[in-house]
Amino acid sequence: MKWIACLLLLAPSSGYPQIRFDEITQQAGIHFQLNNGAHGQFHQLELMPGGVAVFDFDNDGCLDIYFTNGAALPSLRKTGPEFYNRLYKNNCNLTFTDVTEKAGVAGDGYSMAVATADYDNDGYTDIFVAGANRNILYRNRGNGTFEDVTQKAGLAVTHPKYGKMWATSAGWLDYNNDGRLDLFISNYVVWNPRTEPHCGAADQALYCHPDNYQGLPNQLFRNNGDGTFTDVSTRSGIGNYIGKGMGVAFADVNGDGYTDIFVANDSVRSFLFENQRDGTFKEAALEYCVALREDGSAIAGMGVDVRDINNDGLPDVFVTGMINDTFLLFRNLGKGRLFADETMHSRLAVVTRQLTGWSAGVYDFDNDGWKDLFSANSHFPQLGRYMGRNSELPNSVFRNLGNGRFEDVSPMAGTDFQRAAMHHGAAFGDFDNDGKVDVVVSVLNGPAKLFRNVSAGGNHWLGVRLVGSRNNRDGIGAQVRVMLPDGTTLHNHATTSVGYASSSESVVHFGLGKSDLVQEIEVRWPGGSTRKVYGMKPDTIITIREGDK
Amino acid sequence: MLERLILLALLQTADLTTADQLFNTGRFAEAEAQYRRLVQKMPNEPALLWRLGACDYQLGNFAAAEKEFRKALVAEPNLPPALVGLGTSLVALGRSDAALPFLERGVKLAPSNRMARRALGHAYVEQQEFLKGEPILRRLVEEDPRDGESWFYLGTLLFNRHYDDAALSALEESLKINPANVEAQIDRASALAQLGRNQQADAVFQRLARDPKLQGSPEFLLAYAQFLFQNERYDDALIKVEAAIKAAPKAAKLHFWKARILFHLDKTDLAIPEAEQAVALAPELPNARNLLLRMYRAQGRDREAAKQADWLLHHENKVALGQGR
Repeated sequence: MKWIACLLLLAPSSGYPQIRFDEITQQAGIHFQLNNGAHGQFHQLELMPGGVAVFDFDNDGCLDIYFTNGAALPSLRKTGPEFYNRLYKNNCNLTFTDVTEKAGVAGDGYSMAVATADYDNDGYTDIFVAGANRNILYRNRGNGTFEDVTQKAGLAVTHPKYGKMWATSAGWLDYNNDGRLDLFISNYVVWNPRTEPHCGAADQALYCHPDNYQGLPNQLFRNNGDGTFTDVSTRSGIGNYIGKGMGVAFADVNGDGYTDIFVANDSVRSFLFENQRDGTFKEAALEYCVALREDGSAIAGMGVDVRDINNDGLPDVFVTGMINDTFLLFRNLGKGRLFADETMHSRLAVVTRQLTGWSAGVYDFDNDGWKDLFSANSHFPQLGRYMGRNSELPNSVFRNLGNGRFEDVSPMAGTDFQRAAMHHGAAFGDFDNDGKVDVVVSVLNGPAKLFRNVSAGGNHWLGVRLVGSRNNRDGIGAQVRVMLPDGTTLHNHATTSVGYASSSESVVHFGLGKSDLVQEIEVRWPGGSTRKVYGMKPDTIITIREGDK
Repeated sequence: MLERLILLALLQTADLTTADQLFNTGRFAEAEAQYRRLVQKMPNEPALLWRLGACDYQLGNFAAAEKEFRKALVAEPNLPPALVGLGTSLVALGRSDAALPFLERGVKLAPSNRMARRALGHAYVEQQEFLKGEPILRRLVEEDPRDGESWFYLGTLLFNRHYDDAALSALEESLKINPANVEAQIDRASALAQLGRNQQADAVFQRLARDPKLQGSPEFLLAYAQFLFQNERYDDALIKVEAAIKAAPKAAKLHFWKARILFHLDKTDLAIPEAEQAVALAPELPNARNLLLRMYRAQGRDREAAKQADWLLHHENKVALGQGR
């Protein structure tokens, strides 16, 4: 019913502007190629890389891009520039300059994922790179260069049972509302090139199904506020659960003022770590009914975004999966700690069944007031042989019709959008500050793609940049409510943890439809304090500082 | 050995020739009687025993066929037609797991025998051994595109693995050659539905529904119900699944689907007993348990929900630890 009530207010479904993307990678000067190091040995690792981050590392108001990259196998060494992670600085005119070497962020080892945030609250966004057996924390010095502080920060830990682990995603959150960003790492499976199982026939090797590998626990590191972290994986309960972790997203799903953690697992149930508000978590995905598909099957969960999709103020869950899994959409019912599986009713079951989606995001691409869905798609290599078609796929964008249903508008999203490739990572942000959310996508063994959102329609928008003082500087975890003069209320929250292995801009984006005035903005900071701003003109990024009157 | 050869030579008389002719012309009952008489004279002769088994197989007496093929293999453990015969009989008896070693050995000994390879491919389909079955069946249809049976098995294999595009092509090839194959028609309709080609799927389902033979077929009725469910035609889906339950009241899957449809019709009170029945019939399956969990939670029956959650947790943990599903 809530879907319908909101529909009456925004009513965008007829004559809507078409969501369209132009690919501008070449003219933007981005030449990154993700190299997975494959050479016919079918190491599981080769299937998984591709994390991308969108963030403003030099505070010039223009979003930059960081790409993670693979390494030689089985050595896991970046033996040459072809394996470097890459940082592209936005020149603020939709062109970019590769500043990797100067910034000192080429990485080390086989990188998978990236998570960006200002963990030391110094006003500069830092980079955490997650990978196979090697994670790196790069502290932003504020002068265009970064320092590897992994060891110093206490993040170069080995698990007492599993040793060095294979991380596929990571994210920043403030789980204890102490104003400092903590680090969550999603780990995949036990992997060792010497003991890796072999699958397929003798004359035709194949990548093994994840069922052939043992899963790993995830990790949580508490920020001590002095540049160091404490491994609280066991103490918090996070490390007590074995999964095959992929994407991770954060939101306060039960409205108790504390951030909860959703982890998409590959071929086993998803995790929802419910924050117990005492430094511990309870894994409660089954209780919340978000662990499995309605028919009891675990999907090959990949990317995830947890956001309010139906404008009822409650974060919902969107998860991508593999062919025939169908992507999942769970609607937060807001009472009884329960979600409803909306996969079929939303029409996503039908339109995603033939897809394999990696990274994902829930953003209002046409600024009509309803958040849409994006997935970076490609099947696993070799599946093409069985499917009778190539493993490359175009990406997908599903338009939110405002009535609980989604329409696959990908075929109309522009010529560039139709090009199939081995899309993996994806991160979201407004690169040209035109109010339309753009997307950068990594491509396995191919050139990355920068999609500029060129949707027409003239809808209004608002970006909310949060600056915490008692809370973390990025305002991560803060919930933002926007009220329009017609009574429409829009909800979103600040997070950079979006999709698979990727990290998106922290500015909180709102599409406002035709409304040319924002009546009220309310920010609820982690910990419960609120701040309200009244009577704003749209089509701008407003900065809201914690504590300002 | 010499004695056996002499005896066999003596049997190469009119009796054996006649029996073979009867078999080759499809007069299996008469051939069976003739072979049986010959077997009485030479009870351990593998060449006769496998022929007798082949007759039993053709007559649909699969258990009897199994016995004869086994006897033949006692006498000659590596006799390819007996290995293949035993394997196909076991597949027909629903024991494809037991059939696999015989068929694999038969194909190894007679790699050019298409019937043996097809039977092995079929057994892999039954066992959902996709990676083993696919190359065998693919090769068979590449060698002979008119092999409708292999196209059908390949289509089924791909369909079960949800490669619906490729499955549809294979099933359509199979139907070009054998248009009366009802199973292929049902799978084709389901593949069309999975691909979102709903109008076509609907037309095929409607046509099949007019076939009196299928009106009591649980497989067809469930496939139809699933299609209707996918299109949110819950009332119609319920009618189909109820008809399927009438035909197969002990099928857990059908009760799960009835529960699922009722749940989507907001008839949770009716859905719960159906799901409970599905769990009682197949306690090892997670489907109905997850649905029950969801429904119990929605009704605030948290203790019962917790019981299902515990079971699902245990089931999923096994997978996470690499202990397989």
